[in-house]
Amino acid sequence: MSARPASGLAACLAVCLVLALSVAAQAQTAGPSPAPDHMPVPGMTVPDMAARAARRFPQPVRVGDLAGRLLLQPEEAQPVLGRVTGLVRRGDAVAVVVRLDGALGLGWLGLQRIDWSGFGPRLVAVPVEAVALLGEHVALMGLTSEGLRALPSVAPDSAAAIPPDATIRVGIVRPFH
Amino acid sequence: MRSPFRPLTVPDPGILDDHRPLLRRIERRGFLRGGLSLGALTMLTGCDVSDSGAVGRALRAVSDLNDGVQAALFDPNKLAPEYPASMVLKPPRFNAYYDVEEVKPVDGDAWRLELAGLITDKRPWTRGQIAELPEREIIIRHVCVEGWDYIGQWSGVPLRTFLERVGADLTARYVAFKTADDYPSSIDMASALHPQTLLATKYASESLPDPYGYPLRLRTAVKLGFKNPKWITAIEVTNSYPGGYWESRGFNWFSGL
Repeated sequence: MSARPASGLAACLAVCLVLALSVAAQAQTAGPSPAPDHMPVPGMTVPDMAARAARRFPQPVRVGDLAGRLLLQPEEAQPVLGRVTGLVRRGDAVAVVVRLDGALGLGWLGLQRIDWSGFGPRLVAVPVEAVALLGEHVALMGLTSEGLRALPSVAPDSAAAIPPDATIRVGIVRPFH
Repeated sequence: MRSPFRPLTVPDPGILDDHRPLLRRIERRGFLRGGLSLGALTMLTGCDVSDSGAVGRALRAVSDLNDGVQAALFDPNKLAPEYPASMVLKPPRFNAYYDVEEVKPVDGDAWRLELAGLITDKRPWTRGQIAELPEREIIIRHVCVEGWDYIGQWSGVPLRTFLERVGADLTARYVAFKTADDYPSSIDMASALHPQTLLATKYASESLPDPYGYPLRLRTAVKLGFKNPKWITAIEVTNSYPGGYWESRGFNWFSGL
């Protein structure tokens, strides 16, 4: 009789441990950011971002070459914030569509279609002025990681996709190590 | 104020006397263990222990030995791997010892390449004169000492061709570079004469963009990335060790691949 409650308690503790570790892992990327010169300033407007981006020597890049790139946080460990899925045009503005992992960070399991009441991956639209090219990656320069996660979700077909063969200009940035 | 963590009843002090031999053994063991750990830590963090002292000189001697071994192993006829154009990263990765926002573009029309040292014809070169020299393209892997890499497509005159054209002493030991961004650098003559060492003027068949070293930079397949100075303004052929920006900060000089 006493073995069943004990095993139930152990299972409960194991689940709590896994959840705690998951939250801790997320906290490494979602916590408060240090603020060297290149770090995004909270509350930057799109014109602020555009002015800063113009000083990063924008270079031509094929839109199709941006899809699939990792979006990195501009700090020494370069944590991964999400993955670029494509670019869209909203009026005169260009936005980079980024897939953010869910709170459990299980996107790598290929469970993108599962939305566990807000825990699953979602798409957000980041102004192109807020990002810079970091080699084969993209760095988030105009928004903090907290600002990125605060962006509203967008539907995949909510704006006109820019074709992969189109070329846009994006600023560049050096590695953060 | 009484600490909330202080127990209401404290142990009898006599318990320490009863176990004093055991405590002494534990302290001795901990001291030995701590000493060993400190010694190991000193070895592991040797770079910063005393750079200007004996440790720094010892590390510098080992680095110089590494340079000699790398030079002895270097095969001037062995080519580095080349890659298909489909693998080329466009645009290439930017790197410097400062942020990209601090890049100061060079005026290509006013730019001149100065020559010095063991060179017969020291007349300065213009961008147009360099463009008339034979051009070679290489698609090679750029390997950074920081741990990242990418495939890049570079074109320009082979440094060997240029050195031959200006009558450089090809038996000299070093080729040194000065740059517009105050990033002095130097390589050994054998690497300078390697067929995959270029004075690059193009990336992906287009003129070098400003932040990547326009109008002239070094690109060699046989050295780490930091040995490829951008915005070159002067070349010197010499037998005196010229050093370099990162080398004077402790980086290995030869830094071959």
